[in-house]
Amino acid sequence: MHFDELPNEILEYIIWLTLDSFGQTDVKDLQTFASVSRRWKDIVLNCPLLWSYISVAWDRIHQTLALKLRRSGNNLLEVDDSNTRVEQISCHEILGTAMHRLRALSSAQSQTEALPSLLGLDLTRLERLRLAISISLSPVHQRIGPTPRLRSLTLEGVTLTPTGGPFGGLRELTVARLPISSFMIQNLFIIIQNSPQLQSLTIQSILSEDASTAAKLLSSPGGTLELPLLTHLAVRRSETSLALAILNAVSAPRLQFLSVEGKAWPSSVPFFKAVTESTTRRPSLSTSILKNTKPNGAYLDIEYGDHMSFFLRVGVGRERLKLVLLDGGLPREMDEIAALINNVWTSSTFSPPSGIIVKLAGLEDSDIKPSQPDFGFLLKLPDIQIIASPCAHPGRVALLELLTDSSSHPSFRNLRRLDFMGYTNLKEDEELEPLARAFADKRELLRDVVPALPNLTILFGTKAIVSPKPEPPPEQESDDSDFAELFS
Amino acid sequence: MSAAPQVTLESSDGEKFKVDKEVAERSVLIKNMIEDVGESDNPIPLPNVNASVLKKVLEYCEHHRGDPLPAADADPSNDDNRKRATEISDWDQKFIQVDQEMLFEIILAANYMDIKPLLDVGCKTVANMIKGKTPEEIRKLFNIVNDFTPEEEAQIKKENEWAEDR
Repeated sequence: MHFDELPNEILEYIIWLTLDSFGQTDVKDLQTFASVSRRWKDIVLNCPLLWSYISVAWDRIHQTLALKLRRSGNNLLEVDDSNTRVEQISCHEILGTAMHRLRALSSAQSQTEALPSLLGLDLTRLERLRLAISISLSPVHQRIGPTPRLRSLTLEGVTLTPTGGPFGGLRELTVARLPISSFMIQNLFIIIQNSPQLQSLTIQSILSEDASTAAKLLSSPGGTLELPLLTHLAVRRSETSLALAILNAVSAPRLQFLSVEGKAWPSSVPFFKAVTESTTRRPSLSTSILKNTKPNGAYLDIEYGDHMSFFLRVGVGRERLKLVLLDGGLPREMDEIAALINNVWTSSTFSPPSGIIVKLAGLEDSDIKPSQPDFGFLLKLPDIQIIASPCAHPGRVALLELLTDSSSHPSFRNLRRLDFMGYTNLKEDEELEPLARAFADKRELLRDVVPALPNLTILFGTKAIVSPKPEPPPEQESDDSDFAELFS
Repeated sequence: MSAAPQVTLESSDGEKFKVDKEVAERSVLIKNMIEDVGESDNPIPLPNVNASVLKKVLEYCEHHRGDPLPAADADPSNDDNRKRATEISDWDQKFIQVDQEMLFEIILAANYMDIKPLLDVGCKTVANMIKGKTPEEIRKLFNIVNDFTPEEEAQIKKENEWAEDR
């Protein structure tokens, strides 16, 4: 079969796919395709869709802009008006004649005056709008007329007041880089309260000394955000008091994904503590996440800091629920974090389904000798696998302690796999040696425990040292003689 | 446990394929046919797809069974949808590593059988092949004849003018 046998609409679609997203449609690319053959030229010239992506920066020549407006026929337009230089602002006049055809407008500017003025324009077909100004500029306030079809709105450093009725059909809202003030919070509140269709809400980088004002506003009577269709909520790099106020104010029975990320603080624990306490106090949030499991997965994502120094993720994926616990740099807090998770996990409304993989990772700083964390919460999880890697030695020993504790080991009846190395490529000798000693210390206890755990496999990476069907112990290298001895 | 319901598909060259209904219904065309005529033991004819292509298409449907179906109201020109389409997963990339003829056949079959994600994988693969190439390179790649007269070719090289004429 020859290329020419593909129908025109497929060739149109292929050419359209080559155009980079949003605003990068260079007329030169279209010219290249039109130069292939007569058929290609006809397709390029007669497919309005290919001419419907306009970038003021790329199409700065007025002639090109006008050409695109003409060739795009009556097709809806997507316009990228970013980084417009002052001498290009006149392009807005040309665009002004086609505003009624705008489906999407993205304007990210490094100069306040380059932001287009939207009031008085016919934006009745507009579905997606992004207004952003550079981080160095003072926030800007804008007003906008009726936008009955607006579904996605992103505001970065810009507040927006609708003068032609609320954004009733809004599905996605992202608000970033605004100073916290009562005006801003009220503006945000009005937008959210009037958007009953909202499915995704992201609030990020809202930082201010005055965060408590915002929190007070949000926690005042009437400060409830009823969002019946909301599935995604993210509060990122914002003041904790604001994050908590939002968590407390939002009522979202269909929530599937909650992501809370702290800003860089000297200590992760206060943030994590505050967030976990808040989500536990508001069981509707956490339970709705677990209830609304979809094939794509549902997540409760609590993240701290710039370097993921603490990160808790509870996800209901396609196959199983995962709890991932990572700690990259603050081992001394592991016990405190474990205690907090104990609280979350033992709350009656947050009972996890079975089939859980627990990864205990991080804690690699050997200079700090943390106390052994209390992993008691693990006992609450039915049918689990634990991958204790690349967890530092105290974490592993704590697990071993737990496993060999006669009062707790019945709770591990369903533990199917305990992997002390996991996927790590750590220096095995350094890691194995102290662990081998710990195992040796526990050998008597393990001898009692293992028969009580019929499904258990204990692994060092790929090497099984305990497996469900007691077989002759695998050939051990001389370094591992302690393990071989254990089960001989 | 009862077996998953199955349907039989018949290729243009008469070969019959018995597959799980769930797999066959990745094709909107087949899904609609089953809904229209109800469950039946008669094979569903696919007169535009030969056996070797149908086998390949079903391999795709089998791998992606259970994937969320694209929303019925998804607008392909919606920017978000386009961004999603720019990436091809590892499995899909390996799957689509076929000769040109088979690639075009898969695209046609996906279009006819209305399997949007497969159509996207095929078209995106072709799009990646032509991206950044000169007209001559594209002609060579797909064996396309340059049917422009020298005058037309000169005219098309002029900035903007080429698009002004009609």
